[in-house]
Amino acid sequence: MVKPCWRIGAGMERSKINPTKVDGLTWYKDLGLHTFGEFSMAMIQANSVMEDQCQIESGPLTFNNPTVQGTFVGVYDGHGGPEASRFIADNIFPKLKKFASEGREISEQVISKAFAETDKDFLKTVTKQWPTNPQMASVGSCCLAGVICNGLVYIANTGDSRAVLGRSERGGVRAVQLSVEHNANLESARQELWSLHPNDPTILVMKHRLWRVKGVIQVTRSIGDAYLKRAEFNREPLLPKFRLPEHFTKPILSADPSVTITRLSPQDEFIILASDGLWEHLSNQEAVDIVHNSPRQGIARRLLKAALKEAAKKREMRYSDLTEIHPGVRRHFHDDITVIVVYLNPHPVKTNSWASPLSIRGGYPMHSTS
Amino acid sequence: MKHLIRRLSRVADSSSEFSIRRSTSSFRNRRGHHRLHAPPPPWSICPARRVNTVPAGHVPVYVGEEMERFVVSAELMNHPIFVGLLNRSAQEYGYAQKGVLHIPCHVIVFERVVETLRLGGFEGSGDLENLVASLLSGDELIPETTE
Repeated sequence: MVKPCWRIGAGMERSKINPTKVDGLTWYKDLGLHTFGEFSMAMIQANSVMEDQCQIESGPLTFNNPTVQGTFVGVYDGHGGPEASRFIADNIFPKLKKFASEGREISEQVISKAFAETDKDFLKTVTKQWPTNPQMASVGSCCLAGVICNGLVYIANTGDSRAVLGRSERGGVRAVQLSVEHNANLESARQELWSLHPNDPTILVMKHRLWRVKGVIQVTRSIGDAYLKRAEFNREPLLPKFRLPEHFTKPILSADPSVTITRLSPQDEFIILASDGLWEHLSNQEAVDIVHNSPRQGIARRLLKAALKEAAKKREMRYSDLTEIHPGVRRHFHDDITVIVVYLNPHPVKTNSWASPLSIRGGYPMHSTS
Repeated sequence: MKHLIRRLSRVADSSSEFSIRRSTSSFRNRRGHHRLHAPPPPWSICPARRVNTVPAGHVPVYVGEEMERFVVSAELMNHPIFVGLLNRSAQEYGYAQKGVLHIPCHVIVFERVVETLRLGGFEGSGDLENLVASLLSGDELIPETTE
């Protein structure tokens, strides 16, 4: 059993207090304790630079109201580079605390404001770097955030990561999806874009048998991706593949999260939050069955391995041979994958753990071949 | 792109000395334990049409329009030249292709590239060096989508 002995720290010092491990391309924390129970985290890199980031923060969720205690979980699946997902991991939780402090509580509006300001600030960074680093305009990230507080779980999602609740039912466990996703290959996301851009016949284009916004990107909402939000970036020196042939006035992608609020019941055992890299290989029910039927220690790594075995099977190769494939090349077999399993207890684990907040960040720095 | 296809065709015309049979025997040698003086070749290739299961350490790929199936060593996948072939695949079919990876390259060129890699690289092979330079350069070979 891991004792709740964590303190907030920074950089290396923090990682000594909260030992996390790296094994080749895998980063993991097999078991830890958050305000309402245990958790397990694991990530694997497939791109030449790890584009996924994640974090878990447990303790006070405001700066001024010590009674608002809870757990914040973030999964950030970057694309076009790691800068946007890293920016979110650096900024979204402090912003959430700032907005929560204004009303001295957590709410849907607080979370949405944290998303909006994180996007706004990232776009400011893009503007600042435009003369020297214009490719920042084509970097973006999905953002999945879960907040557990006062018996409620808030799931806010921009992009196509997913949160799934495991609810015990007649001797088994049922998967209940808590997140709403924004991917052009979902009918609802396509309808939304078509209705927002009725005069643009090329707002969605099928490419490689998949729907893509402007023929480029699958997610229909994101943090970053400045080139699809502000026309000022739709010009040289941005790479031609990101430049749209026509001028646009209305942002094509939005950073607004879809937020769901669920009151937790004693039947709610755990929540799995993961980037789409996991869900392209495991169904919601397969994932909750694995968690329900396995020991808690290392459960996130177990899910990761199940997804990788499935990825290897699809390419008709052995899992052990997949592990020989280097980052970058790996992307042809699977995506970067992040998975966090948060077990739920109806009451805080230990009252005195409130004084010992937890802060763990995953995915940076990872192996880089570029 | 047309330039690259022409180059591929030209190399293909001069590659008759490399055969699948030779590749197959080299694969068998790699599995043997009694070879003296000659260490097992680091990379191998064999046609997989008559092989029911993929040998350990290998990955199947489909090559060319005819979708000829080969197995190549997992180690070979990491070679920059092979990465160039995989990037062509992602550019043509995306990362989310279902099942075995499909490499858009003439079968005969593919065999020659892999065989040359197996025999120790590209030194002194001008045509292939040019081919590889083509494979590894140019924006057209970078996947055009972002994921």
